[in-house]
Amino acid sequence: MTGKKTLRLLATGNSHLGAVKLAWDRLALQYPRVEVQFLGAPRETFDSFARQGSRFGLFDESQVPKRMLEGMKAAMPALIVDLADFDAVLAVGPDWGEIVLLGLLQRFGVDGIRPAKGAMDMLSAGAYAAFCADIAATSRAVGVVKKLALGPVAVIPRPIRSELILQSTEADGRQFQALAGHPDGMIAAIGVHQAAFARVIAGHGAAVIAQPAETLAPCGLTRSACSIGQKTVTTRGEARVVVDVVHMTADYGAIVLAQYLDRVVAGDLG
Amino acid sequence: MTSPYSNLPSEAFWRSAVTDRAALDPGNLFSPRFPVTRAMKVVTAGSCFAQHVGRTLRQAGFNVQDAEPAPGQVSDAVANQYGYRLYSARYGNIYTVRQLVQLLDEAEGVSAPALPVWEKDGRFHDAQRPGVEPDGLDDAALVAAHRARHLTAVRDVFYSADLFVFTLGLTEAWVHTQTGTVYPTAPGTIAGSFDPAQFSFKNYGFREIFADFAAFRKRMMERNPKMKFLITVSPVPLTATASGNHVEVATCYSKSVLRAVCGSLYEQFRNVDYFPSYEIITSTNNRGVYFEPNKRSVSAQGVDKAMSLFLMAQGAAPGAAEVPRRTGAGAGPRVKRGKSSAEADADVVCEEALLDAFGR
Repeated sequence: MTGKKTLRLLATGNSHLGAVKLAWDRLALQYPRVEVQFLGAPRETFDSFARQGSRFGLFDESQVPKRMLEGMKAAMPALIVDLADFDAVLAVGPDWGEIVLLGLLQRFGVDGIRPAKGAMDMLSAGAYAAFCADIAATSRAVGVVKKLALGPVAVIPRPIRSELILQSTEADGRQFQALAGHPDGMIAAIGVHQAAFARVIAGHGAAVIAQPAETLAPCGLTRSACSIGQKTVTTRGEARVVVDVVHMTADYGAIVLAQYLDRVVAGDLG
Repeated sequence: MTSPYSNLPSEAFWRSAVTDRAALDPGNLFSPRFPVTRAMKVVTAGSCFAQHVGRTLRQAGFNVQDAEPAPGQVSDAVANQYGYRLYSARYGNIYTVRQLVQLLDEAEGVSAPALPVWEKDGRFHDAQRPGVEPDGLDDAALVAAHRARHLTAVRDVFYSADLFVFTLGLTEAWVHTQTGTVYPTAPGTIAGSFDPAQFSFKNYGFREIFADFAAFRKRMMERNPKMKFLITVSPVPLTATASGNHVEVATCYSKSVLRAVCGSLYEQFRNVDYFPSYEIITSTNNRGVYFEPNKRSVSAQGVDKAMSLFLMAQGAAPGAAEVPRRTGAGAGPRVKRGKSSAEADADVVCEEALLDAFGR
């Protein structure tokens, strides 16, 4: 893909596609021979996207709330695309077992990687690597790649939850508290899972643009600076301030998207 | 009475109990001595057939203990490769009663096995459970550290048992000649190397096995006087024998001794029950169909037949795990509940994260 012909890319995914779209708005001028078409939906709807022959997208609109469907139609050029029209596909935001992994690393230490503390059990490095591969193999990302695998596919997996979640007193926040109290070896342990995930995805003919280590806090959660954080949402007619610990900023999107674009332009992704 | 046999039930006669029984009908081979309830803490151990016992009890909703659980999301196949979810702790197969006693000794600090670490190709294995880390560990110190944690789990789970289930598998074993330490596998098979000056063959006899189990039972009951024991004999023949006999002859001897020990334990101790998995699988009524083509491994059908009989005799439908009963305001037909405020917020957050980026 190093010729002068325009490179047509499809970027598809769940709500994490938003950060990539904002990043593309900034980066587009740096990649004049690249065209990107976006096709996304919030997770539950994106999970219902299917492939029929070479066509991919939302074939059954009946389960999508009307307001969301209208928003998607206004935002995307099409809700069904022909994969054959694209030189490569980028899947954005599927889970890769990272939440399961964080739960595991609160319960277990790993030989040579993460010491056990208090009542934690210990895993051998071999068992941990095998467990990571197993968790990765059953993650949603594998299903997404299988649906899209007509040409070169790369995955930007869902970012790990923001460390802002530690400030939450809800169950979601409490479940990660132990990580803050015992961050030893978390980055290395996540690296093992990233490598296992990349091997699993490579087994399906796709590549992974992993979350860069510099975006992670020592406890393994994403640095708060990368995440959207506080915002106001209106539900049931009532405006509320919430902390978005799931989605990342355009800056984060630019880091991972640039990695992808550099590789795909260089012909490094099949 | 014309004969002491004249008033016996039909099960006492071969013709009515076996000859006239339909092929593969397991018959009425098991009458439990005591009920096994779902409230009982069940601990399982033994030879490889015991894995089926534990799995079946777990699936049927019995309270099978797991002192070293694998992460819940890891598949059984991968967890099993590393010794997880096979038994109530990660001890791997315990083929001989002597090894069971030795494990308790070690867990209680009474004694420690000789040559506890075996090496192979620069990797280090726990000689007492060489299969639980298929790739071995980096060094002997790491093996010792893992074993120390394991022994704590063993002690805790053994002491917690209301019902201890043990499948007797073998009489033949390899021991450290000087100390008598017994190993689950022959040195040199999975790891280690065989040195005839250090290791020797041992074929445990009736008296030794009976005494070992009786001692084990007594020690366990010092912790829990109400503890019960369910024993079985593995129907799986020997892979190989070092006895000098034909492997079929050696298998018959081995299983006969184990079966005789179980019979005597049952006769002597009222808190010991015997489940005839050996008889169910090896019955001539089955024409050998409960074995795989290698004529050694028990087929899934055979396991299912044996364990179904156990569950039925215990009044538990096979595969019917108890579902926690819903009571109070939440009881009644299941209805799709509405989303909470937090969930509704999360939906909106996801929707906005996507659509706002497209300048909706």
